[in-house]
Amino acid sequence: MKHRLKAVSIFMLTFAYIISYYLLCSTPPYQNIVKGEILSTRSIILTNLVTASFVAFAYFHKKSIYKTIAIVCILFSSFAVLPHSKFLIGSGEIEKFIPTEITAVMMLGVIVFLMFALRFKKFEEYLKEWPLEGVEEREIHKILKEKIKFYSVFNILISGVCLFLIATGFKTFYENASASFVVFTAFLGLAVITGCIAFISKSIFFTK
Amino acid sequence: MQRYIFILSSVFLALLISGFLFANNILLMISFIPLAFLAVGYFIEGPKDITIKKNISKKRATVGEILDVELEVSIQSGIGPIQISDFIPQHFELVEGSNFYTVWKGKKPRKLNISYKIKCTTSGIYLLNETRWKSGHVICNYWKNGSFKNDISIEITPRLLELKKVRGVSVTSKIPMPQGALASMGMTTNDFKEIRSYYPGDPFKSINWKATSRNLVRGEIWPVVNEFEKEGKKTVWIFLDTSKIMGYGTNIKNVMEYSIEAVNGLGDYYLKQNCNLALVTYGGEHEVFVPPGTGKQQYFKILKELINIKNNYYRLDDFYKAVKSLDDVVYSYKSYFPGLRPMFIIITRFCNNNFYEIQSAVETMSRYTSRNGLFPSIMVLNIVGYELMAENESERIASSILQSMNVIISKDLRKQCIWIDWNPVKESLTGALLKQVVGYT
Repeated sequence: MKHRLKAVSIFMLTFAYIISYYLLCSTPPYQNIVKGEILSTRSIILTNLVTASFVAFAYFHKKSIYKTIAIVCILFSSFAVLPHSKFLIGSGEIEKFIPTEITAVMMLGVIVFLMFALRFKKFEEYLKEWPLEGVEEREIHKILKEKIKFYSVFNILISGVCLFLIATGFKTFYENASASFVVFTAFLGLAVITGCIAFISKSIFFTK
Repeated sequence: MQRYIFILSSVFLALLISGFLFANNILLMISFIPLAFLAVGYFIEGPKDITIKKNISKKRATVGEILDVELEVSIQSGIGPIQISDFIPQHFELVEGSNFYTVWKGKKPRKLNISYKIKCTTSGIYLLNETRWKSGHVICNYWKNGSFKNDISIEITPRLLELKKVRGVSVTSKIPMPQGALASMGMTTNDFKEIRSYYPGDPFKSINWKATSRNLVRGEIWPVVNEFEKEGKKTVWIFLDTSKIMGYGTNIKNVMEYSIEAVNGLGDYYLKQNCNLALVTYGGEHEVFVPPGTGKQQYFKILKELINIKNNYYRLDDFYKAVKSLDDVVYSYKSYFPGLRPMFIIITRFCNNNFYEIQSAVETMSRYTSRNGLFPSIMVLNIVGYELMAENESERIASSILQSMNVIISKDLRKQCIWIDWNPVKESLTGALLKQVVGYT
């Protein structure tokens, strides 16, 4: 189970890295730096070498390679996400970037994969710690299997809901929806966010 | 606030604020992911409504006895992993099974039976009432602590001497019996002592009617009674060292515990020989004194003190705090000794630090007791504790060297009393006592 968990978490991390790397490569500033040769061996090696040295540096300081790669992934993705901001200088060249909808979905994918990778890493740690505490191996496997099952269903469900909301949101804002529908959606979103915050704060601060 | 929740909340706020700041739709929408994770995650509750029923095979046991502990755990609601850890005091040893379990609680209520065996290693009264649990949240990945208390305590009494009868041969032993003394308590003998005035409580049959009538003629109306000598009770005084040096060893095996075992064993032996027995502790934070007495009642009085003595000796935080030396303690009880010629037993761990203390105490005791052959009726039971901490061969050799040095230091002292070295790692107390048998008659 230990090897399977490791393999799955590495696979998820790699997948997140590839998507974020693709997002980085699609940005015009990066294309300018590498003079348009995104797929040339030189640019790939150089970019990944810089990343690897950053990961190595962070690893020696924090001893957490997974978190460092996650930060790198978010950093790469942010180069593609931020130019879509309306208030940011340079947003005028937005047509040269990947479309907003696809960027949003890809960003969502990066986040979901990173969450899976980090959670599986945590499970891997349990697999090391619990036997030392005296937990039976059979019980550990059962608990981890149940946790993985539960977490996967939960994560996919939440991500699905988020994907649906993103899709609905873009459809609403970009396909000339009526003003009343936009206002209604905005209020609905605001109500959901406020409700969530109220519920979470109640659970955190007022539950003994 | 749990770390996981803090991280998710921070990510949500950072994304939301930056989304608003840059007017970025992607950031705004993605910020909903951690929020949804938190909100929906909180809807799912970790295992709760936990009840634990605990049973122990015995309420009273002796040191070294094995006890069965059974737990019936019932988890009614919630979903997720749960860790159950039954609290065992530090002086107990886990023999079989485990007192720690981690299980998965699914949608249905779960019942769990846990059983394990423990060995009591030191005497005392212990609370075994607490069972702790930790329930994990399946999504938010935090753990919630809780405990359940049952009303369970256990009394662990020290071991008794394993006495073996030697048949067919009579042996001479250096261990003395007290030389005998008249006592003010005990069974009445036929030896007439005196005529004295009647006191309320005296039996009517002891009234000397002839003497009373003679007194009446003289105008004394108060009756007089015949007083007979009481049956002689031999008296034994046990002096138990409770100073810091007795704390040598581990939580499970230490000199103090073996000294308690020795007091219990010797006390039981002398009380069964119909002796008066007194117990005094010295060197500890509090001095314990059980006045001389006989019979089962006296045994239980001493046992009660022995059970509590553990809490008395190691609380002495200040090593240099002035405490009464053994010599002072003997001197303070001197009013009990005249006419009794008691036997003294000192139970200690001899080392360089207490050489002079024991020497002067033996000298003082010699004044109040009689000689039994070559030696006065003073017995020093030295508990050799160095090997209790030895884990490998070289440490065992080192402990033997230290013990040999102690033998050299105590050379003169050994000539002044009956000296018994007891190494609990190698032999039982009975074995150590039998070693001093010097010959056959």
